[in-house]
Amino acid sequence: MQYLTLALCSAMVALGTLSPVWAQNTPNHNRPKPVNVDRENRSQFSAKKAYRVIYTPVPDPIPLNKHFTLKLVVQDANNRPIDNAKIVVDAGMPEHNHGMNVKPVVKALGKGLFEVKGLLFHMGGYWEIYVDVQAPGKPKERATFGLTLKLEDQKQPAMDHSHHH
Amino acid sequence: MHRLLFWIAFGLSAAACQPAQDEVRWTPQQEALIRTLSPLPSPPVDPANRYAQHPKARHLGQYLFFEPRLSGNGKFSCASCHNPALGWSDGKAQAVGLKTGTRNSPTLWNVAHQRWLFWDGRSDTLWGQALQPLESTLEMDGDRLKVAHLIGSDPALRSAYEHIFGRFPDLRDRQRFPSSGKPMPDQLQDPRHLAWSQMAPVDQHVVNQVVANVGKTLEAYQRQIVSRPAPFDTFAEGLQTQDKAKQVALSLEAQKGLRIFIGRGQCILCHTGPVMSDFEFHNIGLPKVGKGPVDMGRFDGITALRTELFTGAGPFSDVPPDHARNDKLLYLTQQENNHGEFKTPTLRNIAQTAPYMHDGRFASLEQVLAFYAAPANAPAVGRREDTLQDLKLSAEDLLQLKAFLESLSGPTLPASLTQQPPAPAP
Ligand code: HEC
Ligand code: HEC
Repeated sequence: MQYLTLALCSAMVALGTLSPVWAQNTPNHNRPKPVNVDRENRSQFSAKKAYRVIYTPVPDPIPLNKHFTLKLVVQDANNRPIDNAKIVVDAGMPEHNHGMNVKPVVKALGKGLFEVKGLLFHMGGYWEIYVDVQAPGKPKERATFGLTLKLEDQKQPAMDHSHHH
Repeated sequence: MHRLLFWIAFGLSAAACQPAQDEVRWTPQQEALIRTLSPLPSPPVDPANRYAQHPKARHLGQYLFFEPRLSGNGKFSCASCHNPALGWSDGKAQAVGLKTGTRNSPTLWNVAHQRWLFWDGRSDTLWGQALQPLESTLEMDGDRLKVAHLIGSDPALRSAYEHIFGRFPDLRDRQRFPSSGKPMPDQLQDPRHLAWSQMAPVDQHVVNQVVANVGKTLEAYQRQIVSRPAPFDTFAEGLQTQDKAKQVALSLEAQKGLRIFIGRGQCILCHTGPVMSDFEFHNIGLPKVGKGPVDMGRFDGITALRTELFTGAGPFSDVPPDHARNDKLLYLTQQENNHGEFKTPTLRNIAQTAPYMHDGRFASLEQVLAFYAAPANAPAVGRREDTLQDLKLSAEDLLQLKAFLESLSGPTLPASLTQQPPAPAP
């Protein structure tokens, strides 16, 4: 009987320590909503599937509050690289209704590769990266990527700003 | 025997059944979040100031920080508003120099960590920042020509300067280098503006170089205004090393406040990292007070930054414009969002630096927390960021948050760093 009490209590304690994780300890903006989960794939079609965009961040994973670069591969619907597309990149936190405080600069590297410099995510939580693609004579379409930048995954305290790269 | 077992089991279960009463249990995720807040590392290097760590520059900077001769009327020094005994601030809602300004004097604790200076971030270097209060007609109302002549004519100052920067320029020709003058874009008829604007650009450059160097010594000094471990840091260390004796540094109430800070209070989203600032700008929806013009905050700060001479990408910087430290300038953009945004202040030693906010509108931490409990959504200008929500914080939550904020104060600095040294050189 006493053992049962003990077991019950331990179970309650276990539950008690678990429940706050969901109930109160996670900033409530920090988890992606179900619809966002599909967006976490680093390869996405643009809205009407005219283009495919694949990204790799440098460094990887994306650091908090430091400038980072994106390498983009931009293809048409048949996986052929697009060279002379016009690419505009932006990012924002849809749940907080704000964007970045910086304006990234895109450079074409040829063979459908692009380099995007100057991005900076100053806040932890769910971010979306927007890549607008327009190949000559084709419609402009947007590919949207989602990712969650977890504060608790930052190896070093999120500090510096000047001496990276 | 049976009875003994019973009592052990009973005792265990009773104790285990009420952990929340006298102990906060931390999940691995919470522990990881706490590790992002402590310990405080040393400030990042500043490659734009090659004298940032120079011992003689530190010393001269400390001398100048407390030196009223830098001001127009000889009565104000940097320390008048950044008083080490008042948390490197002044205890006033709005700064009072030669006139009363519209903004609160921010603390200088850990200022070398900042990415942007001022509430609106209109400066990007700690050395270039210094010239603004020095010349502001509201603050010290000094001027760059007078400062340059002061250093050139006081043998002790001149010698201290030359030991760091090499030969002091020859400014004796008062035709070329009037005794007083500075650019005053808002007062074009002021004799000091006229004196400055009539100088040859090469001569202006010589004077600007002297005051940029003065700024570099002030930075070298201010880089040492680094907070010491606070009870919260002892606790965080104890949590990581599982040392219960260190964990008691934080009262139970403050631990619960910490749990709110990193959890449902969402404070950590902006008050990030060991300085408890993301070094960026937010519109938290503070309503308009008083009749004066609306403060546009970061929006106007970016405009001012675009014409600022003393930046990391400018002619007095010790790195070229394309150096990585200037990425923050290169990729900067001005957007409508910036209306009414102010820099997230550090929370270290926050209990020492009332009143609070960019305009000092809140006299106490209670008032700040009451605002966050039910943030108004009638911003003075612009749009309140959706990051801020109605958190439904109870009176008890607020007391716990206050206890946590109070646990962020560490010891003061030794007197050797908080007074004017007897002479400009060691
Ligand atoms: C009359 C009061 C006053 C004096 C004197 C004064 N300051 Fe300040 N200081 C302020 C105020 C007010 C601000 C914020 C102004 C703003 O944001 O527009 C400020 C901002 C700063 C900041 C930016 C801190 C941050 O986190 O953004 C630094 C650094 C600083 N002052 C250093 C100095 C130095 C160095 C001197 C002497 C050369 C000085 N101050 C003289 C009132 C003063
Ligand atoms: C959206 C970002 C954001 C969040 C979330 C946030 N703050 Fe702030 N905090 C700021 C900004 C920005 C200021 C300065 C605002 C101003 O002066 O206009 C500030 C000011 C303060 C100040 C006054 C500091 C000073 O020196 O004047 C305190 C204290 C404070 N916040 C505590 C908290 C606490 C506690 C929470 C959580 C309940 C919190 N903040 C959540 C951005 C944030």
